[in-house]
Amino acid sequence: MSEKTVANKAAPKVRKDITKWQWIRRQMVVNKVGYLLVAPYFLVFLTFTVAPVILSLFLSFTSFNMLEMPKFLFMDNYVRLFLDDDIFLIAIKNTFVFAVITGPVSYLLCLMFAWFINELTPKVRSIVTLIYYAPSISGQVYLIWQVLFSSDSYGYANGILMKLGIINTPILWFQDTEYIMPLVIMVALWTSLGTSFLSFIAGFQVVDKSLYEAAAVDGIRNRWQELWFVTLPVMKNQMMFAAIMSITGSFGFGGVVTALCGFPSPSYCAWTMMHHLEDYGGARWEVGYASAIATVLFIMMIGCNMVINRMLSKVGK
Amino acid sequence: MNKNAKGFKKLVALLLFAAMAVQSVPAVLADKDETALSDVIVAPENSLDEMEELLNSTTYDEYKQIYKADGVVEFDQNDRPDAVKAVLDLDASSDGVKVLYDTNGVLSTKEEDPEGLVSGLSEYVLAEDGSTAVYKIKVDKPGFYNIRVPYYPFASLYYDDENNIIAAPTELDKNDYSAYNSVAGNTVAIERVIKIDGEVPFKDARNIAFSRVWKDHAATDKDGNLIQPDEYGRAFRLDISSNEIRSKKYEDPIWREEVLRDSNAFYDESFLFYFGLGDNGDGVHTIEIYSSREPVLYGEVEVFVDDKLQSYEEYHKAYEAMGAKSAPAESFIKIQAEVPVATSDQVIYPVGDKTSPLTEPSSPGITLVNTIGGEKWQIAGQWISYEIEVPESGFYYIIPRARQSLYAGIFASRSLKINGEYPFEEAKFLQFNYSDDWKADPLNHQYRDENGNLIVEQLEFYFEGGKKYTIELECVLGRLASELLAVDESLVRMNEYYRQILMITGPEPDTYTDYGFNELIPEVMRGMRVEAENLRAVLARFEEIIGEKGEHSVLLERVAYTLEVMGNDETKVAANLSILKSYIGSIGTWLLQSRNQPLQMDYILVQGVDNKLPKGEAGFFSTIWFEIQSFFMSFFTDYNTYGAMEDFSKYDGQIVEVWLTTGRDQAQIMREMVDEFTAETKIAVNYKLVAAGTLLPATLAGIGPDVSTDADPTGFGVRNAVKNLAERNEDGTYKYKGFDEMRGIGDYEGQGWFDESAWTGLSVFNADAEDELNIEAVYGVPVTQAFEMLFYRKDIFIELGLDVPKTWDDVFNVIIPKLADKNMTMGFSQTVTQTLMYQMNEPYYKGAGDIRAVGHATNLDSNTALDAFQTMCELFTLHSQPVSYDFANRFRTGEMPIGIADYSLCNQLLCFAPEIKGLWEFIRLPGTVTVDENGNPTFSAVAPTSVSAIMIMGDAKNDQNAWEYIKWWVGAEAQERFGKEQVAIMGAAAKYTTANKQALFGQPWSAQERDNLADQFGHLMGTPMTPGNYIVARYTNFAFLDAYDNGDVPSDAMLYYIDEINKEITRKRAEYDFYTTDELLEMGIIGEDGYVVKK
Repeated sequence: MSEKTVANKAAPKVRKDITKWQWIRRQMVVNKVGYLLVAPYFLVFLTFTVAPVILSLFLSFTSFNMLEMPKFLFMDNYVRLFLDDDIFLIAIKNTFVFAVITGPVSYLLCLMFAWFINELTPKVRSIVTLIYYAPSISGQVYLIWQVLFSSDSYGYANGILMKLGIINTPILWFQDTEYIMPLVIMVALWTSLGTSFLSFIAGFQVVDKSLYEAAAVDGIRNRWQELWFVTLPVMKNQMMFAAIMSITGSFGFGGVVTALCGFPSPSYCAWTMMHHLEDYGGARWEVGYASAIATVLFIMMIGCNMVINRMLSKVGK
Repeated sequence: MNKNAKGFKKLVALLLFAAMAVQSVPAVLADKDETALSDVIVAPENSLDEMEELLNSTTYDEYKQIYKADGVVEFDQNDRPDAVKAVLDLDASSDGVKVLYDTNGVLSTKEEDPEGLVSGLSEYVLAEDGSTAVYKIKVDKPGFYNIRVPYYPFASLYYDDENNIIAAPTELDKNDYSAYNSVAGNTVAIERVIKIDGEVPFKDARNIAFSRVWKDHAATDKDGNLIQPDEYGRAFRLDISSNEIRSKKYEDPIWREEVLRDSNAFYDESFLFYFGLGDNGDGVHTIEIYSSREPVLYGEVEVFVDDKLQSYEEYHKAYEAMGAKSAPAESFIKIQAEVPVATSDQVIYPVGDKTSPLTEPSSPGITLVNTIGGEKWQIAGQWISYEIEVPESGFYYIIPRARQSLYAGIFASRSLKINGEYPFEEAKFLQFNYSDDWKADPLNHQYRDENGNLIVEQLEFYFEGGKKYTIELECVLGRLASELLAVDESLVRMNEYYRQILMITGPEPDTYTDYGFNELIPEVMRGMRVEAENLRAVLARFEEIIGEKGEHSVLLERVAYTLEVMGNDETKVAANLSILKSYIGSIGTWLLQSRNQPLQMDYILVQGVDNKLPKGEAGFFSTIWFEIQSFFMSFFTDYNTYGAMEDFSKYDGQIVEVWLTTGRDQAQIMREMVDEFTAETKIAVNYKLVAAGTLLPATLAGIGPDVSTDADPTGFGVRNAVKNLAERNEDGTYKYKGFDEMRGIGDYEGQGWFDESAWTGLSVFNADAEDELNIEAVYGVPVTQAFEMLFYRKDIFIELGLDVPKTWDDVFNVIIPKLADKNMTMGFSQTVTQTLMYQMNEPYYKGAGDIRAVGHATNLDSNTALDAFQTMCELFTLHSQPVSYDFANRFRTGEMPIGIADYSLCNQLLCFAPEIKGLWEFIRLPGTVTVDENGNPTFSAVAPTSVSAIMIMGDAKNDQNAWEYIKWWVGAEAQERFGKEQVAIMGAAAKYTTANKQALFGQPWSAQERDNLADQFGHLMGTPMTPGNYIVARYTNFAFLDAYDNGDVPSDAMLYYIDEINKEITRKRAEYDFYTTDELLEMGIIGEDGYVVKK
């Protein structure tokens, strides 16, 4: 839509007798019930989400150690972040590796699994859904990987490999730069069938069955075409939701790494921006610098979401 | 060996050393390195030699069998020899044994001694901790005898120079006895080792326990007035919300006697010792009683043959014959169990029960301590005693309202003594079955008849009207005792087999190798088959007793199967080894749990046998109503102030607010203790229990406490969020009075409350200092202190013929290779680097010696440090010691019989691995010999140490009051008492790792433990703190992993990170206005090498 059409369309509604703000106020009075209902959530959202984001934007231009007043630095934090922080570059690299691998892969996996599961009878479907969804609801369950890949010679992986004679001394799986990334990505994928997976399942349920019949009449030849031209366009909302969850999930990835490899991971080999943020915000008490990292992460996520929005608009075309 | 002999040994060693040093001057010059270096080595304090004498693997059963096989039979009841008095051999006894005289009747007044146990006696034997009392006896008839030891378990005892006893005061006694000699105990379990003719006859004689006697203090309100008992005869102190606070216990000793028996209660009889006529036929023997823990007084030790108990039937018939009938209905007595006359342990205290409306008394809202026992009364040997008096004579039921709801499928057992004696055989095992509900059944005897039906026979006891009786319920293992013993012995043997196989195969055996076990260890193969049968037999008997299968059935059956498979087929041994190991662990855990016999008791009702029995549990609807009430009441309960005696809101602005992150039990102890502080100083202290990690956000929001222990004080300090406690006024005095005394500086040089090492990490450069006086800041005061010590298994060391390592050379050249021969390993952590550096007198940071420069750069790039780092890496690479392991677990199985760990691990081992009790100890770390700048060799066994600290927050409203509080809290008196109370409430495994020198040694350690601890405590070194220090641990770990994972050369790996480390430290130092390396260089404080320039 261009500017012009908007102006044209809105033109008849322009009123000269009251200003815009007066009009808004009147509308608010008219719709007061609606505002009243949204107020509790809005207040919480404002205090605990919007305000901290703005505060963090402000703090990113200061040096703040949490106990003394912030000192204004202007761009110093950003300059240091991009020009004098080697580890931040590692973090960006790792974050992108995680985001690119776990984000789309888990997104597609979710879609595929949801599609397959959708074919099952309702009872079986709910059981299978639970099985797939279980890893992500049961919180810290990824810690069983720590048992599997324990660095002790009694850990399963080490035990089996030693028994087979492939290795002689136990491998410190989660402490060895060679193995950390692949292992962590594996665990990430395993736990990623979460909310987005559920939203896909829900999305498949809302598709009107008559659309498939109509599509068949219109000449849909196979299931892929059915998926692409009928199912996916109908569930665009769910796809958008799932995409946002995937992106934020993969950019905010870090907790699993900390739990499995410790903090920090050896030689920063699985160091993500989330870790960098925690390191400065927590261990080093440099909240100003941490806020700068958060801002960069925030901008990256927004950018990614815009790209995904573009891509999703292509679905079904 | 006793202490005296050890001291003598040291003296001899010193003299010899001196003599050698004088004589061999030319030799020293010629061969300086060899002789002189090894001469400075000091062996750590240890008790390995003593252990060698004590180690005996014969069990009591085997011991008896040996003599029975020779035709020795137990004495017939009607033809028993007379009791023989044992005579103390004072000359043969060690120094800590003295004869004391009680001419004034301090200990044996008629009141205390109604049975005439020691009356007429005025001579007692004092046996101090670590001493050996030697007795001589002469028997006329050879055979099995019991040994009776009357003892007096005091907390402290005073006597004059003529050895006359002056007093054995309880806590209530306020008299001053400081003019006299004193012996003080530590209020923990009294343990003894018995030797007959110089040898420990069987292994259970190594661990004999005597119990103490604890009573409740009379409850008083906060003004000290006695609280009147309520309608139930209970009196408890109330907090501001009317919750009941349990009374504190004090030790009130009386003479008790112990017929020596198993402290684990595996055997239901008292120990029988064989005394023959001896080689020369005179029947003379020695009995040695070694005091392994706690001092005690002995009365007349006696060797005798114990009575055989009558059966319940005989007991009942005897009274019937005297015309006894059921007591009349109106004759009864009900005692609330939570107010006992005495208990054997401090930990047996009243606990609250809110599960039943029938519990007396009960309330859905407030906490009433209305029951006793539960988990706190579950270890064999713990007893509770009550006094009863019924109006009329006759037969009575004893009806405890009790509950065993903790361990499903297993019953709890108690034995009953009336006036110190079992009334009949059946009273030895009274059974309380598992149930979620409270039960009010008469004490009963449960058994199965020939058809396997369970018979419950309710026991009738005869009591005379108007006479006082003491009834004592003691925790016993009951009818499961012998089965648990069988499993326990099996476990020991299985552990032994496991180790023997491990010595051949290593922890990861190759399934395809033919190890030839049948040839190498035929006895182990046979043993495993026998053990399988044993376990199956135990299982069968177990099911017979309990009447059903439980989780243990599956476990025992699986273990038996595994053993059978392994024993029958040598090719299956390797494949099943790791399974066996995990089973050994599970059996150990199961055994530990089965030995626990928790029982919670509400009241004891003694009533005539014809009376209607009380209800054990309330009806369905009243229970539901009660639960609904408690649910809603829970919204109005302020759990944070539980136990608070005063409402602090009225003191706003004057009180000291202290945030605690401890458990509720500890907080309760602290609340009780602080009352005294408040009374003395008029400073009110408000404790608040908060979640860990809340301090930072609270401080940021400006609602923090005045005093906290929940953070790194220096981190807060450099950000000006806590007070500098070392702040000095212009005239040089300290702003916080008494800081110099506490730290031991200035006039108090060398008299500090803590080891100097505890302060190292707390004292930093003060960037805001306006003058030279305040150049050093201290932001916290040490509270607890952690350091590593060497744990080792004495039994395995003796088996392998190893000696404790004195130096790291011993570790590398002897311990590791010898253990490797047997496929065993030693436990290390990465702290070895730091330990070695400190032992070679190398600081961790550069700039040591000037507070302005300390920590300006890491010293890990020095040659010594790189060597140390390399040595540490090689432990794991070259010597293949495991990097990641569960030390407590491997220590228990014996595959890691030695390791370096924080000394507080002793707490965990004590409760987690009771089967190796007494078989391990912790000693000083191995040391290093270095040559100092003058060319003299020196020996150092220093260990790195760290502390947790308490601090005054920057926003504290009344910092002087807060300081007074801190001074009181970290002082020896409060710390020692807190540690002891913690042990009292949570058991011996809750020893407190206080940093206060005096308080640490005042904790309930045994004499040996105290010596060992002192050996290390004298050699500690703290690590200085510098902004950015977190980066050092991070990068050293990276360097280690590079070396371990990728095989990088350790020193290269380390050097790679040095610049990064120093960059971060410099950046952080600059941020907080500390002098950076460049600035220090410019000022001429440090040289090019980074070290402080000597003036």
